[in-house]
Amino acid sequence: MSFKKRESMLAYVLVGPVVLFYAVIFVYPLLQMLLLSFQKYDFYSPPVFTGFENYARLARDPELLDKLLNTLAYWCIGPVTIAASFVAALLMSKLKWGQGFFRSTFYGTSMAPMVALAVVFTYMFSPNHGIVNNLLTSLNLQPIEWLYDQTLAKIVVMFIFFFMNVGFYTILFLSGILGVDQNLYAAAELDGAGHWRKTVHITLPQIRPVMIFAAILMTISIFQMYGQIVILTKGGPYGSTETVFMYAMNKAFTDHQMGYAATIVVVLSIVLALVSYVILKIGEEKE
Amino acid sequence: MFARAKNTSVKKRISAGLAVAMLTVVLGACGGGGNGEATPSQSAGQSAESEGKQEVTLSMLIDSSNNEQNSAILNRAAEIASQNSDKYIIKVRLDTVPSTDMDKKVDVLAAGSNLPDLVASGPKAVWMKRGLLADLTEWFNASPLNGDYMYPSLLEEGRNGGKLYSVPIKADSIFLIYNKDLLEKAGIENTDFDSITWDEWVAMLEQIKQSGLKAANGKEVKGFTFRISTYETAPFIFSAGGEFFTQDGTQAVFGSPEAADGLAKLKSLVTAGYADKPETDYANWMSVFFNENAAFTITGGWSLTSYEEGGLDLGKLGFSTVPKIANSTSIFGPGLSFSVFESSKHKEAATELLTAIYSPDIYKQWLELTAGIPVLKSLSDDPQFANNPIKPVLSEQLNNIKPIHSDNAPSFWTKYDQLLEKVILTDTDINSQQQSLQTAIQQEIQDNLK
Repeated sequence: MSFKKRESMLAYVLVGPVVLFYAVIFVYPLLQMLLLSFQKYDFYSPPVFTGFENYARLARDPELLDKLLNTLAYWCIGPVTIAASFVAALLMSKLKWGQGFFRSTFYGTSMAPMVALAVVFTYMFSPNHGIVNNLLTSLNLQPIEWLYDQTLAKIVVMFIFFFMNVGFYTILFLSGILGVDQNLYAAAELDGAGHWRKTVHITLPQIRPVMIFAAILMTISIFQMYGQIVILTKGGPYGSTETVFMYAMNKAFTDHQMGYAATIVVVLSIVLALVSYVILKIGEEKE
Repeated sequence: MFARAKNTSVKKRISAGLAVAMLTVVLGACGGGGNGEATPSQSAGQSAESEGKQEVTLSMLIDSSNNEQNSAILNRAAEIASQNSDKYIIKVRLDTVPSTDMDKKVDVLAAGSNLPDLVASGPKAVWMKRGLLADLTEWFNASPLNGDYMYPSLLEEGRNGGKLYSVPIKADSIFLIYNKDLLEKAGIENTDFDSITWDEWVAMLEQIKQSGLKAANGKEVKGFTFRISTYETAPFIFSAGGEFFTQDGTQAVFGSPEAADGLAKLKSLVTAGYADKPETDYANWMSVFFNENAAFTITGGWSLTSYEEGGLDLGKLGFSTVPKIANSTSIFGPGLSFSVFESSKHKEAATELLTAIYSPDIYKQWLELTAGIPVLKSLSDDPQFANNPIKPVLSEQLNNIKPIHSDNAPSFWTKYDQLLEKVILTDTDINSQQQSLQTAIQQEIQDNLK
């Protein structure tokens, strides 16, 4: 056997397990889900093929529309997180000393388990003994029913998301900023560019691929928010913090409507793929 | 050069070895039981020649709380069962899951034909109707439990279509718990009662409000604390004469004026400033009472452990039946029961384990762990339970309880929780909200009964 063939075989052997793993863990369930979206299935009776009935139901489900609007509302936190992370990364990149400390501190927020964070936030925002309300009353201010108001509850959920993600994106942007060719800054300085112009005309365009990656990743994670909402608000008050993904989970495991839940997830995946493609295209055009 | 060639060859061998190892891991994961635990079918093969008995490992799905104590009690039960058995050496392997996820876990395991041998949970009519559980009628009739069981209505919850599928091991219900100390400080004379009317209760709440008591944490002591959940709110609806579903679960009836009245009365406590801000989180809600920020609460005996862990002296507590609006009917607390899955390959061994679980030695350990009262006459006067302060009230309450037969409408609990949030936190009309949800739930029942 020639050297090239041996190398090629070794490559297949090395890649094979990963492909197999991917096929078993991702591709097969995805195909099953696609199939399920054309069926009615409640765990106990055999699946029944119903054609496009589940897809037609999507269009006339007002509750789903509500959950979609909730999810889109959460999307507002995406740009805020990206902007805050970028500013933090930019400031951190200027540090002459202590950058390692700040990096670890920022990244620490992303390392905390989501469940633990959500439980802590539940205690913090409790109407009776929450630290936040205790602080307000100690300042002679009125306590706020954080988790009982539809808008405030959403803001608290977004705050957790921000807290959990800002560290990760800061480190991501910092690595991008530190990778920018320093000669570009030197040349700009010779032309009399200040901090603002250097940031807008050099840093931002140079880290655009990182930004696009961050925007796509963040969109996906916002659509997939589940655990923190379940622990913090259980979807309340009266369902106002539920996302489309949570709605699908409830349809599947509470209402036993697996087929309809699969349909929601299939459509959600297509929407996410389209949104990601649009973000990617916008990034490419600018380049 | 030779050295470099040898080095390359070693590297290739290591790479190939790693690849094979990875492949083995992946294939192993694909072919195994998924969670790495032995499945019932695997345990079937574990036969022991010793003592001429077959060794059987029974898998049991159980709530993940008290895991250590559960393991100890069940291992002891397995030892007793093995000693009493002519055929089996029984071992138990626990598959733990949070109680809130128990139904989902059973759904998924049933769909994958991978149910364990036994399950420890409240009686679930939906599992009985779906044929998931094994018929225990014969076992029960032949066991000493038959004739010793005190609460027929509780046992009825383990039946479906005339067959018995699960035997509740402890009796639970929701009742009124009060802090005698706080009542006394508020100037209330009667601080030791085991039943109360709605008007008497409201008068006490008013007195507490007027007293302006402050708790150790500096906060005002409220009369009452409650959690926004269907389970803890149901006693108010039942007490007002309302119902949720008909006994056979085919009709949703919570849109009645009586049910609306129960909810309106509960809401009036918040509006009048008698209740602390309602909580949705169980732990936060518990803390309001153990921090002595409220004098009354409505819950079951299982909460006493949380209060004690929170530092509350249980000697301060008094117990009463649910405040009587039309009557003092409360919600059925199914507590704990054990069932055998129909798919189990070891039904005989599983029923032998059940017999051991209900033997006095083990039974008393369960009750101690779960703060329940015995359902068996023979243990009713046992010194371990005779002085239990909740026993008289709970016994009274258990003769006047109702279950919620929501089996045909699985979404009911989530949707009713949402209705409660809306009703209690906003000024929405209770009647119309209940009517509207009742219509939606009735539609769900009809769809599921098709």
